[in-house]
Order: sequence, then structure tokens, then C-alpha cells
Amino acid sequence: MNTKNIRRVRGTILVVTLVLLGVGALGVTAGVAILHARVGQVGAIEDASVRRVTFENSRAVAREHMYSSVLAGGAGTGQSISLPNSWGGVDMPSWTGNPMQSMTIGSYNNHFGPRVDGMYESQFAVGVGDGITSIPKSYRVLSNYPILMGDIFTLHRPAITPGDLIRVRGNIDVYGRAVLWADLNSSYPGDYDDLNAVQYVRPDDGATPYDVDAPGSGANVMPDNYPMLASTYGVVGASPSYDGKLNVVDPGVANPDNSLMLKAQANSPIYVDGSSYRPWSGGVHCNGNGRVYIELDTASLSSVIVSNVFRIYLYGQSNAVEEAAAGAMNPIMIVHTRNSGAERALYSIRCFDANNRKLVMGVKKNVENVETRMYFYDSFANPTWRTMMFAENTQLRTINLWGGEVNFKGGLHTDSSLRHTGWYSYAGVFNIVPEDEPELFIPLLVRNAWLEGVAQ
Amino acid sequence: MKTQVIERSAARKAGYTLIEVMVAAGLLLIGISAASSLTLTMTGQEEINRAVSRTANLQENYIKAYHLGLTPAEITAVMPPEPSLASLNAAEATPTIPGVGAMESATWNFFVRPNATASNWSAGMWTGGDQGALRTMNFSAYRSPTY
Repeated sequence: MNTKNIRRVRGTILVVTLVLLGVGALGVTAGVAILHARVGQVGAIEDASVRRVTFENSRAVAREHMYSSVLAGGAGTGQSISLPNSWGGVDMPSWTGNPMQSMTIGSYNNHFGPRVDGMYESQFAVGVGDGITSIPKSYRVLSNYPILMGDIFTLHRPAITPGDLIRVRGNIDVYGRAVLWADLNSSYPGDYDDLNAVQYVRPDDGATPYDVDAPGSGANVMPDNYPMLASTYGVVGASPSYDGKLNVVDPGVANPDNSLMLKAQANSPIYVDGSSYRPWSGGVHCNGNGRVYIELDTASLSSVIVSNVFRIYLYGQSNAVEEAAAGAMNPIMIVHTRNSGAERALYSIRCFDANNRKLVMGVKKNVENVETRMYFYDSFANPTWRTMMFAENTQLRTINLWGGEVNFKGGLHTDSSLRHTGWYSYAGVFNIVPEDEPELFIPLLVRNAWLEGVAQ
Repeated sequence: MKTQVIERSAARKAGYTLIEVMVAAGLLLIGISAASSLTLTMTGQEEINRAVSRTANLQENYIKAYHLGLTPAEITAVMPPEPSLASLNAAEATPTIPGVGAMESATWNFFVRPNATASNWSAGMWTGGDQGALRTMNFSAYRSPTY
């Protein structure tokens, strides 16, 4: 091998070595670049996590504001609301007109809940912040009249007496939907055997086992556990207004658009104080000693606001002719509240004959949760009362003196215990059946509302 | 005599000297060592990346569960264990938000130890360091008082 060839060989080795080193360096560089990208991705994951948490915080603020302010008032100015340390914020629009009074029917069906249509809606364009930008969302405040939409029996959570333990006893047959916001007293799991319903909804998986049967057949009815959206009848004192509590009989200024009392006051009311004598006039009489008498088929009667009484007598109709005439009359309201311990405590409502007059009744005891008894006297033994009733902070006991059935045509919403008995012992059935002409009750009834948020 | 001189010169021209080979071997050794160290660091960094990803996901799940209404104690009881999550605490409060009213909040502190290998978190970046370093992640979660 001559010198020239030797140099070529050595040069070749050097070139090959350098190429290998170059390829290796490229590989290492690529690996470092990939790792760098991976570090960047992990950093982005963390940033995105913070943004999502911030966005959820903002949504919570939007919901709370809508429930506590928009639903509680007729108008408001737009404002930006921020959480401390930039952990969320929303841009709320101004609004006029309480959504509870909206008569705009939503142009869509709700496929995700038991209430399929007929919802009123108000839309609000809300900017929901995620820490970087404000994301436009459309919030729909939806409302309807649940008692007219099929929730003919609703057991709300106790509001005034939160620790009250609820029982349902006697045969209670609901020929519609029973909504059980409250858990029954867990000490008496057998109580549910007394509650029968065509359909029932429970919004949570409370500890108390449920055993709701269909009326008559005894077949077990499974709950329709839709993903229940929080709904509300309105503000309940200082507590949240959308947790299944009932406050519609006399919520005062906190919820003026959803108040039976205010609706009655605006409906040519007759005020009755149990200590003031009132002769028979306009279908209402008070003996001045805590007893008030009301003839439900008085055509001129619109509403009666009762206080300081211990007994209310309701006179219905005793024959088909009277019932037909009463059925054609306008709906009426009877509202009773007990606001202080100095007032008489209502303990009985005595219902005579049957009633076909459209009746909305609200009973509220602010002072203590004592039982109100509804006695049904009827020569036909199984009276039908066309009534939509709201009972707050008062246990209800319905009593058919003959031990027969009572057909409560309309609905019952309560937040306390309910039982049906005969005169001395448990007997008969308390049937809650839907109203045939629910639209006629609309002016006097209250709505509940809930929110749905969608992307714009 | 002349023949021996010619052979020695040819041998010198035909290959590398011992010194050249030693120098080349030394350089190669340094390169291999650097590559090995870099590989270890990269592997460790990737382990850290995976741990941080997992814990970031887990932290968000904690917050999601809080938004859904569970209490911190309930959330802690149901969440799966994560080796990189050394500890956590949550301080609950009911702050009043202007324009809204009372809300529920929980400030979560997650103490993350993602570095099974020799790494450390300092001043916003990972550097070589001891294995016991803790990283703290803070979140403030807000929710309506009752859903």
C-alpha cells in the first residue's frame, strides 16, 4: 500500500466517524426537542386545568346571580362580577321583567326531564370568564306551573322547620306525578308503602329506601330519576332558593312575583280577622271568635285572606246542578297565614259536601309546625274537592268521617307530613287527581324555575 | 539497516499511533458518558412529566367533585391514590361575593412530589437536584351554596 492509499483510508475513517457523530448529534437533538415539546404540553395541561376550574367557578357565580337576583327582582343593571384572585368572573347583562312573568313559550322540547313542554323562557347573554377570555353563553331561565304540568303531589323539603321529619301515612294515591324532594323520616321506612303514584320523581339518592306502588295494582313503580335540574319556587329566607323548598304562600317582598298572598291581595280580597265579627256578606262570615265560614259557590267571591282563626268552614255544593254552576265560576283563592304566637293557630278546615269551584288554597304557619286537619263531611261519602293546595310548615291530616275516599282534584304541594284517616283510625283513601282544565288556574298559581345554560 | 528504517516509516504511515487512539477513545468515552447522563435526565424528566400530568388530572377531578357538591372529606375518601400526590388540604369558607351574595368556596393545596429521579422544581423550571422536593399547586373553587 502506498502512502497515497494509506492517507485515503485514514481520511475515510475520519469522514465515517464524523458522519456517525453527526447522526448521533441529530438524534440527541431530536430527543431533546421532543422532550421539550412534552414539557410544554404538560405545562399546557396545567394551564388548561386552571382555566377549566376558573370557568366552572364563573358558571357557579352566574347561576347564583341568576337565582338570587334575576329571579328575585323585576329589573337590574348589568355588572361585572369577579372572584378574588382572578378565580372567575362573569359579565351579567341588564334585564327588565321578571322571568317568572314571562309568557314566552320556549320553541323546543326538553328531552332531558319529565316535564316535556310548555315552558316559559327568558334568555340572558352572559359572558363567562375562564381567566383568559370571556366566553359568551346563553342562559335560559325556564319556568312553568308544576302543579299544572303533572306534579300534582310534591313533597318539598322543610324550610321554616328544617329539622322536621316527614311522614306520609294512610293510603295516598296520586294519579299523576309525585315529586319527592324531601326524604321521609328514616325511622319509618314503611311509610312509602302508603304512598302510591302513577309516576314519581326523586331528585337524589337519599338514604331512605323508596317503595312506591302504582295506585290499585300494588305493582312497584320505579322512579324516573332524570338528571333533575335544580328548580325553585323562589327565595326562601336567607337560604338558597333552588333546593326544593316551598315558599309561595306569603314570601313577602323577597319573591313578589310568586306569592299567593300578593295574588290574593290583587284579586279583590275579603280580609278576615278571626277576632272581628263579620256578618254574612259576599259569601264570608266570621263569628269573631276564631271561626270563619265561606260559601264557595258565591259568584262574587274572588279571594279571602284569613288570619287569627282556629277553624275554617268551607261549604261546597250538594248536588250536580250546584256543582255545574260553581264549575263555571271564576277561580278563587283562600290564603291563611299565622305570623305570630299571639294569633290563633288554625287546626281544622271543615269541608262540607263536594266542591267544583276552582279553588286555590294556601296555608302557612310561620310560628310552629302543628297539624291542620281537613275534615270532609259529605253525604255521598266520597267527596270530590276541586282544589290546588299549598301547605307550608303545617302537617296535614285529611279525615273522611265516613272512612271513605276523598278525591282531591288539582294537587297538593306541602313541606310537612301528610296522613289520611277515618274518624278514629286509618281508613279510606286520599286520591290526588289532575285537574281537567288546568289553564283556568294560571292567573292564580305560582311557578317554579330553573336554569339551562348553552353556548351562544 | 535501510530496510528497517523503511518498515518503521511504512508502519507509521499505515495506521494511528497509540496516542491518537487514546485521544479518540477518550473523546468517545466523554461523548458516551454525556449521552448516558442525558438519557438518564431525559428519562427522569419524562417520568416527571407523566407524574405532573396525572396529578394535574387528579387535582382537577378533586375540584370537579367539589363543584358537584361533595365535601372535601367525601372527595378525599373516594379519589384513587396517586403516588406523586404527597398530601393535600382544603380550607372551606363562605365568602360574600359582591353582586352575588354568599357562596361556598374551598382553597385546595396539593403537595406534589413528582421527582422519583434526581430533579428539582425551582423558579418555574425543573433543574437537577434532590429527590425530595415538593411542589405546591393551589386552586380556589367556588360553588353555589346548594345545588
